[in-house]
Amino acid sequence: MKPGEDSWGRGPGGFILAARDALDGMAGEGPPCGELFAATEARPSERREPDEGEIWAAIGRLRAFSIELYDLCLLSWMSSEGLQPLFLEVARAAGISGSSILFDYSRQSIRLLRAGCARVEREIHRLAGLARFGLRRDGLYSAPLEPDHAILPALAKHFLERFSGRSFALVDCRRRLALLSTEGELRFLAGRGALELLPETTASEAEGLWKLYFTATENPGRLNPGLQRRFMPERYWKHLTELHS
Amino acid sequence: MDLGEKLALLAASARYDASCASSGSARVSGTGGIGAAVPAGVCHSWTGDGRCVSLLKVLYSNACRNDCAYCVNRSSADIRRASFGAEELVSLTVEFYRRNYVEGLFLSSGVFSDPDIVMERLIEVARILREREGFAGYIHLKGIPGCGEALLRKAGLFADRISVNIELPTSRSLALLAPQKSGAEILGSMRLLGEAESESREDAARLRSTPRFAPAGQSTQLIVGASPEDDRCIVNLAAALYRRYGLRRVYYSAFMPVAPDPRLPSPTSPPLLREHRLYQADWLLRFYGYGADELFEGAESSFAADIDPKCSWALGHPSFFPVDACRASYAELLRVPGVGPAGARRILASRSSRSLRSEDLRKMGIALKRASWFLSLDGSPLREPAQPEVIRASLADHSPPGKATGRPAPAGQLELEFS
Ligand code: SF4
Repeated sequence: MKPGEDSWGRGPGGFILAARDALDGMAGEGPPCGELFAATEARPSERREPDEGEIWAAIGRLRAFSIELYDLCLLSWMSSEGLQPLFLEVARAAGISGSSILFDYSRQSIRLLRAGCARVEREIHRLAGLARFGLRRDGLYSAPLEPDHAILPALAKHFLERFSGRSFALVDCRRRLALLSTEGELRFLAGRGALELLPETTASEAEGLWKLYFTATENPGRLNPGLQRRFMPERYWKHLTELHS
Repeated sequence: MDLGEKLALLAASARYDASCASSGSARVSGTGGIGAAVPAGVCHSWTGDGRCVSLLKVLYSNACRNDCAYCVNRSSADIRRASFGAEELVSLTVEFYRRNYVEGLFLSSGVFSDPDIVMERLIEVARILREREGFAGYIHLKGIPGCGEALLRKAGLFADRISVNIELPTSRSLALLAPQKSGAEILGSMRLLGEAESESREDAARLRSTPRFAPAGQSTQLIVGASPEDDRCIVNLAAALYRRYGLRRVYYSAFMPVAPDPRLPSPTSPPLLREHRLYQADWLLRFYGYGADELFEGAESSFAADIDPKCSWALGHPSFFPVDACRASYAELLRVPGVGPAGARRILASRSSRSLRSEDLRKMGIALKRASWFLSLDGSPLREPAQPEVIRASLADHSPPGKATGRPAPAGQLELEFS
């Protein structure tokens, strides 16, 4: 996935530029802190669309300064907890005092930022496992998701490798966003177009077998539903076919 | 029997195998293939017993000519028997994989025929998946006890992991409870797997294109509480397996009686707390730098029920403490109850840029309730010394894993960082 592609231009590009400005002690025009793909709504016309070359240069600058800072930048951009201003504050401080402050857990800002980013990361890792794909009649494998954070872009690489060239879609039902991979090309869709990629609701044979498997593999001598919920919070159950009877 | 019934039966017979890890391998499929193995492993669901579901874990067949007392599939058990065909397993694996239900296949089997024949069947499934389907997901094959060397080597070309279960900690117990199995044979297979793996690693270092032999290495499983061996015996065995045969994981499985048998104990519930303590000790061996001999004092041979093995060690070595958070090495910090690898790393990182206060430690996620007995800051202990019984009481952690304590998983499938 390239920054500067249409979707990414509206994605983290603006935030990456703001991060670079903060790091370099420049005031910047203020970050686009909203939700992912805020561009689905009309954009203020005065905000310039970031240019691809400039975004690449900013990515280079952030990564050269510290990979850690770059990771935190993307994670806070995906967060729906409003971590973005906090991230910029940390980037500004790191620009002044050096990258070692990113590891200084005695600073409250670092702890809060890292805790918030860890929640985003945990959700990315969780949903890489919990996404459930249905096979649509048109041959597309599609997974409905309702993540807390806007993490679709972070799942792209994982599923591109997993599907190795086959078409698939990830749909964020609540934000009405989708990521569609067809013939090796990755596209982001928003609004109705995104929801049209959802799988059909008719149950497939594979789904039935999966439910049977799931029930059979449970070990009745060691039931511990509390533990099950802790690893797999109930808010994700809606799309987990194996948990519906 | 239709496919669904077979699947339910052969999954239920395989569920007693604790290992379900899908980590430790990285593969990418070629064009037209599917999948990629992820080095860190992925959990796809959690069953009601709190175990991660990562692989389609089934038996090829639950027919068995052996009669291991602890096993649901033993020849004398009166159960329905069934076997998959290779194509059924291939299509289940691929279908489940595409829908993101699993990371791959974990295939084991009862010994329904000559061990070589059984092993060949398992290998055939893996071969079709890799060669015909271009499947790059995870494959874990069980090594069938008694099968030939050449077959184990062949299995390693298709599988990410191979495991031969040691089942019980001593040959004496094996002879009593699994009379058709031989401890020497099991260890022989492990030695072979260990050698094949390290040869392939050396070859790969010379020539990058050499196919890796079972890149996720070998693991084994040991049943706890079916035989009289104590924790010390088990921990020593595990340490030796790690050291000698380069095992990646030893899984411990609390014994659950499947049928009354005079040779077996009949506990009312599986010894989950004991299993949990063994996983904790295993963690100390692999990630905390403890030696097996350090974990037991004098004549002691079992882990305490009330505190974890790390706390036991700390209480038994008062002269090692307090450890000074401002000066101690990483290894020393790791010995402090309440400090895990992440905490120790944070202490080291933070103290390079400022001087530490106890408030900082708490903010770094150090469990001060436990750690404060064992830490000092610039020479001054964090807490007044107290009687050992008082300290011990404050370190207590009796409840079985995952229940009241909210502690991580029993089956040791999580990279739990206990501190
Ligand atoms: S050989 Fe394996 S399947 Fe057969 S009885 Fe023994 S443990 Fe069970």
